[in-house]
Amino acid sequence: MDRPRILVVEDERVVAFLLTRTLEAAGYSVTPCADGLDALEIGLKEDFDLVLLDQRMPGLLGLEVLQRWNAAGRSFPVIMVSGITGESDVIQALELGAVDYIRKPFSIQEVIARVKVRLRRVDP
Amino acid sequence: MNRLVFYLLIGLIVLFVVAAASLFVIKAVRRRIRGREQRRKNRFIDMIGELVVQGEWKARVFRRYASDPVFRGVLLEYLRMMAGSDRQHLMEVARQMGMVAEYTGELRSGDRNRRVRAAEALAEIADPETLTDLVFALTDPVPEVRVQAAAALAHIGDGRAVKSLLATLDQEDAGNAQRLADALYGFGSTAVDEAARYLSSPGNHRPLVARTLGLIGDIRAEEALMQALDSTDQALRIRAAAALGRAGTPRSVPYLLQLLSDEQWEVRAQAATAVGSRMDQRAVPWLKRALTDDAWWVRHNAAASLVEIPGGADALRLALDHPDAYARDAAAAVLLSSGLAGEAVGDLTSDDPLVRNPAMDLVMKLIRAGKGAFFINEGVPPELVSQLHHGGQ
Repeated sequence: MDRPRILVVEDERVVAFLLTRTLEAAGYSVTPCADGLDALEIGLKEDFDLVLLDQRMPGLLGLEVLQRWNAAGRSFPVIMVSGITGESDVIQALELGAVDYIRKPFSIQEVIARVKVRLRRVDP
Repeated sequence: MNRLVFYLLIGLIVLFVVAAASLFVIKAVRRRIRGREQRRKNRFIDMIGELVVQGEWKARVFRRYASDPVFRGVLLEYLRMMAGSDRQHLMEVARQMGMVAEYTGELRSGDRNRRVRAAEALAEIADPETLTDLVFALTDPVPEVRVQAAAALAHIGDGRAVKSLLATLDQEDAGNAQRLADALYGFGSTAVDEAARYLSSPGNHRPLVARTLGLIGDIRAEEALMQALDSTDQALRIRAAAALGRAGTPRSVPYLLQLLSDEQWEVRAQAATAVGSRMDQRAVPWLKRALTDDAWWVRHNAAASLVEIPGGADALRLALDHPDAYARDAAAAVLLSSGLAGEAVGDLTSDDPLVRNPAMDLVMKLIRAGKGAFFINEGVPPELVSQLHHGGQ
């Protein structure tokens, strides 16, 4: 059975590395992406079982990426990754269909747990 | 003469070329250095990240780079982004590397820049063992050191530091006091008892602390906030009234209702919002009266609060027939902004007359109150808007 595919959209290298390697070590197939515009394009072309989407990014903000995916009929389970000051962003993301959010700073175990919950049916 | 001008010109050109070439070389060297540092940084990010992911806390590996400022910077970035047990491990590594001891030592350095950098680093590490040193840094003559020390203490969250933080905050100017109040907020409920006591002191920043107590929203602050309402400090009364919206219980509602007749319009406006947050039905008749207040903010806040309280929206609809034009305006504005008018538009086409007729009535009154453009934007045909404006159905 194929491993679940996860798109990690995050511009901060430390966070991107942590998320990517943690999820790879947990057995998922991870596509990292550091720019909102690139994320939009990848999401329009490829299918993912889950997306971890940062809000503050160069190119396009996470919420804008989510809006444009919705407008194009692309629907993925999205977990928003947000800084401590981004409460309104989180609420808006949930209204746009995001399924969950992770606040920075985060615990690696918590990230894995949340991802597993969302991918329960397709766990590797 | 001509020859002199010629040589001068040549000299200037040569000077310009040399300067341009030097600038180019300096920039190239800087770019190269930056590129090399970035590559080193990326290497450390991958290295530390891999150790974190694998759960391998090899102090030996970390100690090898202990004196490298790039490595330390990356370690601090990881500490900033991580929570939970992995962060605890990483903090232990920072201790073993001697980073914590070194930075706490630098807090006593004679060089102000070193003290600022040390305080910033300790704010990232947030090691509970540095509590005493950070409390000491709250008395530093450099404001940035005090702010960073306060941030570190908030990150650690040990309530024993709150009294010292408040003592420092009390001596700050307005700008810095706000930054220390942010740190106080970071303590959350741990800060409430001490901060509530500060409100009854002759402190310089009591309004700011009252506001922070409201943001924390812990009801243990209620008694102190209610007492602050009797203060002669008007700024404190305004902040305390606002704070009771989040940090109050039904017990404080009668006090807030009395404040709707206060002499200060700012107090009345904050009390109007606070009772809305409490969603207490006892407030409805008081808020209806506040719709005719002299101050626009009080009328607006009273209307906005009525929407929040069960039964309040009906009072707002009735206020559209109020003989006072100011009350009608306040009610109309909030009915539009709260979405109730938009819902009525959807109900206009209902087959059920019990749904359609009240909606029609509301829309008609709002159109007569001058809000016709809103309904045209919502898709109501302009001819229907015109018809309703003139009272037809």
